[in-house]
Parts: sequence; structure tokens; C-alpha cells
Amino acid sequence: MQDQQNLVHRAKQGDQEAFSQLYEYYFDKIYRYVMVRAQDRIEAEDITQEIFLKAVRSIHSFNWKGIPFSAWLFRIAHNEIIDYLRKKSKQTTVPLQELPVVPENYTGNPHLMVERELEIEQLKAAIKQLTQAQQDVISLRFFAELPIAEVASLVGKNQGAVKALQHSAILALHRMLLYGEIMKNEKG
Amino acid sequence: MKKDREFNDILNKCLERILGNNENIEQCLENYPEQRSKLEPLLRMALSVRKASAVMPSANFKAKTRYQFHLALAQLKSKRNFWNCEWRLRLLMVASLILVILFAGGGMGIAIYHSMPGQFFHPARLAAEEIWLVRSPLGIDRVEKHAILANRRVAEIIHLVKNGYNSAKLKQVTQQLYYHLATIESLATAETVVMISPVIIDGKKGYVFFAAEKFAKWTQFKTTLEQQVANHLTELNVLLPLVPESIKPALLSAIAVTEAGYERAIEGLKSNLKLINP
Repeated sequence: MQDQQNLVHRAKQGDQEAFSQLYEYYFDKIYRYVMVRAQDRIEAEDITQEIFLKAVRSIHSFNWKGIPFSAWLFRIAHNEIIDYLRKKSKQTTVPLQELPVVPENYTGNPHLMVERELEIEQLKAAIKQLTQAQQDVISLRFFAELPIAEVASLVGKNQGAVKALQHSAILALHRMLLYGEIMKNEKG
Repeated sequence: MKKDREFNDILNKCLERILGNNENIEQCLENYPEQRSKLEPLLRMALSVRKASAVMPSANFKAKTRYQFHLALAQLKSKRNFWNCEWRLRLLMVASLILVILFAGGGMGIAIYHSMPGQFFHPARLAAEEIWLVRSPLGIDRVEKHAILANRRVAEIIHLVKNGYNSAKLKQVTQQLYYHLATIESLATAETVVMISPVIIDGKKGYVFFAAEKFAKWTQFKTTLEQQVANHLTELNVLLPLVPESIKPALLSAIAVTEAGYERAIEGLKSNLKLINP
């Protein structure tokens, strides 16, 4: 992709080609970022669509003052998801998939220290049990595939803090998913 | 504390290498043998998370959204063009046309009114529509006018299809249709119409209507839109088996824009018509 600052500048002038390039670059990332939070695919699609339409309508308000374009776009996405969750909470909610409570001192079973084939729903259920800050970092790092610096700018923390959150979040997921798997095997 | 920070840095470096540069876990672990036992399970979990998170939007959804995105861009551009670059020229053109019509009599006015895309007088019709729109106050009046023009665009699409026009013309009118529907949605969502009913006043049950008339107008308008979209979709779908293959994609897009555009406009209206029962 061409220099993003130049593309954004052209998009603000109404250059459709520049805007299209930004769209193609960010579409999958935004979709995956939304997917973690939305209940299902259809809702994720609706929200993703709305985010890009909002970006078109408000590109004139974006100013490149040290804030990356990705931070601006993901901020729209974040607000859109918050709105969606707020509306959703007023409606009947489907309970999250229950995951077993992990003992504090549980460190994992070395025999199961292999990569697992996770289902997206299983992963989403586990992510929802993380703290809000951990959820933000995981969804931005792994689903949206943003570098640490951009995640830091988006969540308003320094890079060291984001790295620490990344560590604690992966560790928590490891414990939850691995422990859940062991419990399931033992019951089975 | 310092050790934690060092480990966080190492974990992040390995993640960049594995997830960003597609190196394998072993390559990274070799560089940090003393951290292997702590690092390995985390990297394996991170890799599993990455694999599970690699969900891709469906091709259909991507295509549909791309199309709507481009329509929104085009709408924005045409708005800017009208108000920024050529507005003086356009107003001058309309003013001249009005003068011509006044001198030439009603015949030309009727010709402009009934003109279809591709016909000589059609640009004059579009320019007159813009003036008609901006002269109306924001709110239900403006929204109703956009709905009338959306109807007109659908009629034009049907005319173009029946008269064998090329798909470029069809796309252009579809784009204008999208502009009217998107404007209805944004104007509708900008206005909240609240009606409160019933309430107890001095121990007696009564009804207090705030903006009851306004509420009724918007509700009626929503019903009208619901009827319109049903009619339009029937009319457009009837044409589908009759058109040549070269026109089909453009007609399908017109149907998709009609369906999605009206649906969003109606949703916008629904979300802002609030009936509160205290």
C-alpha cells in the first residue's frame, strides 16, 4: 500500500481511488475485530458495513496529528461496537458459553503443550472472560493484526503496558482453554 | 519487575517474528533457551489464537459492502461538487432555465418534468430537483421530498431497462437512488419523535401527547415507505428474467440498493419513533 498519510490526505480531498485502497487494506482487519465482539456473523457484517459508511461520512474530521489513521478508524469501530452492545444489552441476551473456573495456581499440563485447533466460538467465549483491557489488546493484536505501537495509541497506554497486557491475556487464555480441555477429557 | 518487562519484550519479539514474519516457534525459542519453558506454551497458544481468529468475511458480503461503500463515496463527491465547485454554475443554469420556461410557456416545463435519463431535458430536471430539495426545511418535509425522488429514480430505472439502455446509465440512476435513500435514513435518525401516553394528572388518568401530530406524520411516512419498497421490489424483480445478460448485474445491483436502502431508511425511522408509556 502507498504511504498511508498520502492516501489519507487524498481520501480527504475526495479521491475515490485512495479511499478504496484504505478500504481494501482495513476491511478484513475491521471485520475480524468486530467478529470477536459480535454475537454472530450477521451482526458482525452489519456493524462492519456501518463502520465504513461512517468513515466515509466523517473522513473530513480526521487530522493527522501524530495519531495514525488506523487509530481513528478503529476508534469508530470501537464506538460502533459499544453502541451495538448497549442496544443488545436492552434486548434478551443469550448466556455465554460457560467455561470452568481456573484455579489460581494452575500452570498447565506439559503433556498438552501443543497447538490446539480452537473453534472461533470457543475462543470468543474465552476472550469474553478476560478483563476489558485484555480483550482490547487481544482483539487488536490478533484479530485486527495491529502492531504494538498502534494498539498502544488506540488504547491510550504505553507500549510496555500493552506488552504486559498481551502477556497476561495469552496466559489467561492458555489457562482457560487448556484447563477446559482437561476437564472435558476427564468428564468424558 | 525488570524481569517481567524483559520477558514481555521477548514474548512480543517472538510474536512479531512468528505472526508477522511466519517464522516457526522453534526458531524463536532457540534464541531464548533460558525462557523456553515459560515461552513455549504462550507462543503455541498465541498461534492457536491467530489460527482461530483468521475468519474471513464471505465474498458476497464483501462485494455488497464494497458496492455500498463506493455508492456512499460517489454520493459524497456529488454533494461536494454541487456545493463547492459548480454550484454557482448550476444555479445560473437553473435560473436561466426558469427564465426560458417563463418565456417559452408551459410546454417546456412539462417536457422537463417528464424527461427521463438520457433525454435532452433530464439534466435540467435534476438541477431543478436539487433546488426543490434545498428550499424545503429539514425534517419531515425534506424527507418526504427525498422519498418522492427515490420513487422517481425507481421509475427511471424501470424505464431504462424497458428501453434497452446500457448498464452504465442504470448504475448512475441507482447511485442517485442510493443518495435519496441514504439521506432519508440520516435525516430520520437526526430527529427523535417522542410521544408520551398515558399519564395520571390530578389523580385522573389522561393522555398527554407531545408532538402527536408530528408523530402521526412520521408514522404515516414510515408506512408509506414500507408499501413503496414492496411495490418497487415486485416491479424490479418482474424485469429480471426479461433483460439481456449484459444488463442483469446492473439490475441486480439496483434491486439490492432498493432493498437495502429502503430497509435502512425504515430502520432509521423506527429507531426514532418512540412511544413512551409511563
